[in-house]
Amino acid sequence: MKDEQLQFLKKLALAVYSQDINETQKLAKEYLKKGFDAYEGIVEGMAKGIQKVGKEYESGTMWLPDMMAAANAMKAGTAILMPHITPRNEIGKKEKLKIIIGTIEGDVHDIGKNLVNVILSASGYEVIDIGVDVPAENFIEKAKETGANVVGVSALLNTTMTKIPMVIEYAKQVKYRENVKIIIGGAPTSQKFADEIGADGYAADATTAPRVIKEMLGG
Amino acid sequence: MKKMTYKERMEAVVVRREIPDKIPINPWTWPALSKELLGIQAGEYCRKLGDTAAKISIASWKICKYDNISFMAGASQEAETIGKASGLKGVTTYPEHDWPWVSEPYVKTLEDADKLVVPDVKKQQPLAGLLKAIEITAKKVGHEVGVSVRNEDPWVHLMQLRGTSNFILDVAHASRDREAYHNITKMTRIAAETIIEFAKACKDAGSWMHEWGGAGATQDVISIDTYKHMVFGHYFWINRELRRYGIPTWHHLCGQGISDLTLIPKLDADIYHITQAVNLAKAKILIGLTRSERYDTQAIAGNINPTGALLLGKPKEVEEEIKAQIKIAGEGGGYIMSTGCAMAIDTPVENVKTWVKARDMHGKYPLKFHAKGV
Repeated sequence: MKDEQLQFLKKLALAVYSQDINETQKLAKEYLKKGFDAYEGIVEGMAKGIQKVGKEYESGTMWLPDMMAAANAMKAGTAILMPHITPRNEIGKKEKLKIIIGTIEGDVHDIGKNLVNVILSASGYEVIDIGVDVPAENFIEKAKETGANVVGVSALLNTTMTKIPMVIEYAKQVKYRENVKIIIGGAPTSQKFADEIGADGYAADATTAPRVIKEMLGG
Repeated sequence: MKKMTYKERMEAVVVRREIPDKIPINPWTWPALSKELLGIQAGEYCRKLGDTAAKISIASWKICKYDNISFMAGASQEAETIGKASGLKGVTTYPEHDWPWVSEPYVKTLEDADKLVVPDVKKQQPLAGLLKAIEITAKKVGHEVGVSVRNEDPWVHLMQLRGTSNFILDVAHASRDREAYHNITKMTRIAAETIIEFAKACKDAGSWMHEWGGAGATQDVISIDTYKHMVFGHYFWINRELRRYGIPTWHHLCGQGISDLTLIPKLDADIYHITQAVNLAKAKILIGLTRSERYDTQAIAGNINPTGALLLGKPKEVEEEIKAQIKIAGEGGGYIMSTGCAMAIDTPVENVKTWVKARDMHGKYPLKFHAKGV
């Protein structure tokens, strides 16, 4: 990797970390013009910025608005670089794990879920976001359709978390439980709740999700 | 100790700072028990309010006999009231057996801040419907039990009005965009004033205390600096205005609350309600023993996990949890038992009855066992 590219990657990381959408977009365009690798721009550049924000969020020196704004900057930059990723550059495409994520039916909270999307994508997973207010069966049907290895279910209300077990029940009903690992998260959920309903994993927050998934898959 | 009425028991802790005959219970049932008790879907409580909400609330209280009847319209309906009164278009979705939500935000851009007005809460639906429920309930059972009302906090209203993600991004921008900062300030003021006007109307309709607060402006979402600069003044103002109107205030600190505990007594509420995310023993000491302008000690409410034993457990587990709570926080009074947040819909009625029975057995003053400490 050339020094010039390394400088660009640092600038991209800083632009995301600084939550600056315009600067991120401008740098992403310049980066492409220079002919640098788009995938590296995302993973070695912008993702480093969002990971730093994630670490600071976890340690309590950055807050949700910072995280959201940085995620938005990354989203804007990714939109520019993504179309230029060549199959050669999709690291381990064959081995890349697919993850379905969504917020359970009756719940329209999407902040946490979107953060998980950004962080898992940045960690190299292929994330298929099926949105908010998603009926239990759709999580499993989407996993069957896409061959996803992991299903992530989020609930932000104690009134909707009680619907999470329906995803597990449905997976059993259609005899697909053995094919997917199910991870849950969201404010009212807990490790205890995950154990009680028979989920495979629980992520206390967005930044711990990659580690939990890795452990869940025995990695 | 002389037996107190339900309301006397609540008032002893909230305003008189006396030790009651037993620990009061204010469980935030709202529509949680409606299906099991009356076969009424929870969504009807929110959609119809008025007679239906009153019927559900009275039936829940008569069966379980806790110490206070609390009403709530839900954050989305509070936002809907402001949005409609301001002539803004948005959509609130009402599911059959759940709380409603705003599916299309009423405030499309921050510039809409200038369009927001404080609604006439006595006329503007859906909040006006809640006033009707309070009036009916206070007339029917107000001589026996106190009726109160809970509002979400202004920032939850704004998250509903503007869309949660949009609003949080607005807050991020406000740190470097003066206009965004001023627009958020204007909107916060309107939402705060709406709570004040609504609380006054509730008192006129027969409620005795106002519960308010939510997850919008807590350490789960924003930094303590943002709280101090953008939130604290408005929230203090709400409690002060309600006090001027003779309304005791129950301030709900959602999620992990506020990291700077020394700020809490400065909010000048009559009682602080903490969630299950906060250590009750620490709160009893770090908040409870703090002096404020009006009180030598602070009263604490909370923090039974609504989704633990209460929703999923057997009565025996509920009893054990109640005993543990009493041991932690009961000694010396200044404590009301409550769910840490909304009781989950379809919580078994038997578990709520067990809660009250366990309190009757273990929560009479003087207590038979003492706090273990932090």
